[in-house]
Amino acid sequence: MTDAQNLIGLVDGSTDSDSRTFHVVLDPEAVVQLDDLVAVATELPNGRRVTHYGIVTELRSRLEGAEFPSDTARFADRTLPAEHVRRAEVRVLRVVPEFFVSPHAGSPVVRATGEDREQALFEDEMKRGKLPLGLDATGAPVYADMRFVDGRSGGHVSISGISGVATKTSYALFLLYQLLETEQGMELLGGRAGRESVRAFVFNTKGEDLLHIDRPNSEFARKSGAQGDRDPRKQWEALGVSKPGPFRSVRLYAPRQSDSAGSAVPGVRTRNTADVAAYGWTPEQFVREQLLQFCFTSEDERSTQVGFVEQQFRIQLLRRLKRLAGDNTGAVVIAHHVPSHVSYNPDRLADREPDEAPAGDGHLIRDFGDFVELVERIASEGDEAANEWFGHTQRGTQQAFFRRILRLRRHIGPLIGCGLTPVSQENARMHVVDISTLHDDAQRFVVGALLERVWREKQGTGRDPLRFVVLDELNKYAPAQGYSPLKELLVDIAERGRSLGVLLVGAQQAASAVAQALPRNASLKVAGRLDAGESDAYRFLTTSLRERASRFMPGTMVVSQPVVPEPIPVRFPFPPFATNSDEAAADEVKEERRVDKITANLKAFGGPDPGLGL
Amino acid sequence: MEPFEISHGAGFEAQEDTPEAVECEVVEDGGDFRAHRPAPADRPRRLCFVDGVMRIEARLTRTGADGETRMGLAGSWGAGAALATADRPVEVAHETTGRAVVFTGGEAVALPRHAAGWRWVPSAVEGEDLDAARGHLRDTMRAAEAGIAERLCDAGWLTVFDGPLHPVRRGLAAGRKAGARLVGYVKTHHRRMLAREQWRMVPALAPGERSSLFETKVGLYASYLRVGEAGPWAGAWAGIVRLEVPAEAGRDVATAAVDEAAGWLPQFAPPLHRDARAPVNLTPVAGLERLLRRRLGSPRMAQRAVREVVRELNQERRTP
Repeated sequence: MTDAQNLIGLVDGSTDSDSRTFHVVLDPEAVVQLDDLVAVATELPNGRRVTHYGIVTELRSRLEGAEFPSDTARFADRTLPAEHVRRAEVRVLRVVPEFFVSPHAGSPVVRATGEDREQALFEDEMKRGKLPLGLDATGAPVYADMRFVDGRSGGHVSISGISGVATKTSYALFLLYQLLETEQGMELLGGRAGRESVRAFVFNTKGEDLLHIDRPNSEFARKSGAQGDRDPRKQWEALGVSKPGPFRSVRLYAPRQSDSAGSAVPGVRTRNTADVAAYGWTPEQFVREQLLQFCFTSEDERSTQVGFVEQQFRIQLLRRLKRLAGDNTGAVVIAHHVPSHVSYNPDRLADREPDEAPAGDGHLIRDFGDFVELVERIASEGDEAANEWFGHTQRGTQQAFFRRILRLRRHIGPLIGCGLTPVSQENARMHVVDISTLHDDAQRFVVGALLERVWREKQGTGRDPLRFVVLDELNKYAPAQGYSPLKELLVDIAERGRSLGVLLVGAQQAASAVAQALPRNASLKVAGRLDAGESDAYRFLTTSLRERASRFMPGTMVVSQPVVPEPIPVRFPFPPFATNSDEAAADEVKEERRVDKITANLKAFGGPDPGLGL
Repeated sequence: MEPFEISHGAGFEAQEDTPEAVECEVVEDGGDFRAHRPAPADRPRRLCFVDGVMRIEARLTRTGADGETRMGLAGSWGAGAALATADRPVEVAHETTGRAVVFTGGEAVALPRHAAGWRWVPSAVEGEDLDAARGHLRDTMRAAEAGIAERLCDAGWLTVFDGPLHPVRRGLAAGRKAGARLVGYVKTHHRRMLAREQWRMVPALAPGERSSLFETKVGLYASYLRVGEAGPWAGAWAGIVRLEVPAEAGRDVATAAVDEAAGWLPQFAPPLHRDARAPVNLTPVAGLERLLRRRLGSPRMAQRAVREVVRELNQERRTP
């Protein structure tokens, strides 16, 4: 292990070393930077040899012999003899064999390369697959144990960082890209068949950025060919990806255009409407999937009796649910009368196939407006009807419920209608759902409705096939304070999801604003640029890393994973897929030019009419 | 007020009328005593400072078979040089250190080697005076200093030797070579060395000025230099040092060496807060001494080592 070329210095004897931290007095020739990996061999008095592997967490330099600040000038002025000393602080990552002692003061310290590096980062332990997390400062890949990614031993990813520079979504996509689009990823997911059954749901919350990930990134081509290790193509190569490109198996969804009631044209500006599916729920799905609960997700509503009213109303809808006779667009009839023997158990009711009924048997519902009318009618019918529908609640509570429904008409209304189809899981591995144009209430509704379905379908199927859910601004859906069905669902997924194969890739600006169960249950904890004032919430980072994280540049993340005791800073390469319309648009122009050129060439080559020549 | 800190004694202790007073002859400026301001020089190209440190680490006694008790000491010494050049930071070189056990009564006592690597070179001095033992340790240090000074001098360095040249001259062949540039640097003044009226003119030197050269009775040329400003509270002699050059070098060489030294040394004088003997204790010398002391190791560890080997020695004696 000890070779002179890799020697960087000696374990500092002027200060204590312990089993977790030691210092290295650097050799005058050694060039060492933060995050470098080092190794020290120590021979114990009983002849046993142990090797400490560590990561450089801080570097210090001083003039030994200078007592006063002004002595520095005397050294520079060449009047005071002093020695320039550089020291590196090292945190121990691993001791091999596992025998917890401190490295001996004065022992030579070498750079951990090759096998040493693999040992330092526990790669030898990752026998059941490893997923690249990024590149370290030297350009070498850092891996996560796949068992902690796919739910076998752990799951979920929590990504924190301030928006704009923390590149949280980009990092989530970087991980998904490697799983879903690369050869290695296929192996990690159990071969082609395994991969084909995996689904990832990504919610797009900003612009229409993620509606372009199926296109090549024009910036990528421009950046490739940059000097040295800044070339993204080389970085991807280091990660084992020889042909980085766009996501190939993608379906895109957007809410329908709000001015197109009745039609199902997706509301997108930067993509052809034919490329994107409009999503929504039919009245029948709305009732049977009990989506009404996800209409009441703001904190203020849940602290009052309104939640109870919603529950009562939801059950009554289910009890009275009939399909409109002769209709196949999802219109329903809510019967005026319901026999008393009908169950009150909502889940049992939801499983039942509804009977058909003519429109005259009850209240016909074709869109969200019809729901509002139903509520209006009940409210106008007097106490008896109200008690039946809303339980014995205060008039004021019922009115609050009514006001809420009215307010939602504008926000959620466009998402409910006959003939709409919800986000499917068919035909692609990656499903991007645009919620960026929706109001907060509607965003919560969509996330809740979709997650509920994924979660319900996975009950009882075991871990495979895996479902990944990428959700930014997690604090909106599962805030640290308060209660809502959506938060309950997310906490449930966080706690039980890994064994059921529902894996959450959550992102948030500040971990402290999110329900504690979410980041706590995440195996991979990732932080990009952190807000200096917020960094207190990131206990998994050392103090110096927290401070450093407040100055991270885009593309730098620090990753903490269960097997490696210290978080490791990594960089991830520029994406080969477009992450906004600008990156993709430029490429379209190029594509057009290419097509023009080919057409021109064909004409020149084949004469006036190449088609007839064959 | 005396600028030295109390533990360092005083820089000026020369009474005008004592039997030790000598009146040396001024050999420059036609016998007139004048102030010279050497032309400001560039950065020193090859200037070095040679100095040593010593430390008594344990006092010992030994009671022989005849019942007579003799005294001794264990101590350490170190010597080295600080090299100042035009283009690099001041660098310490040629460091050498040693440990000795010196007994009075003419009979050396060897201490066993300590397991942790401590070892002492035994020697003895005649007589009963412990000061002689201390002197022996000092001579060992000086011999090492002289050796370093000689090597550097031979290599063409302007060598500033911290302390008077007289005690080391025997070991300094270099000082007698023609053209050698060796300058003794004396910080304390124990006796008057000039005629009374010339002696009274010395404090008139301004910082950076040196006096006319005079020849001492022991074959040295000497000159007083005010190396730095000692502050408005300091006595008239504070900040004045004596430069010495072996007379064998020839007067021209001596004058040139003294001029060069006087031109350069003021920039190495420390500010008052920096050193207990500022401004006369030059910064490179202070740095060198601190480093050498560190090289000698911890005095408490040294004391412990002596204790352990003496115990070993005593046990051997008791169990023959």
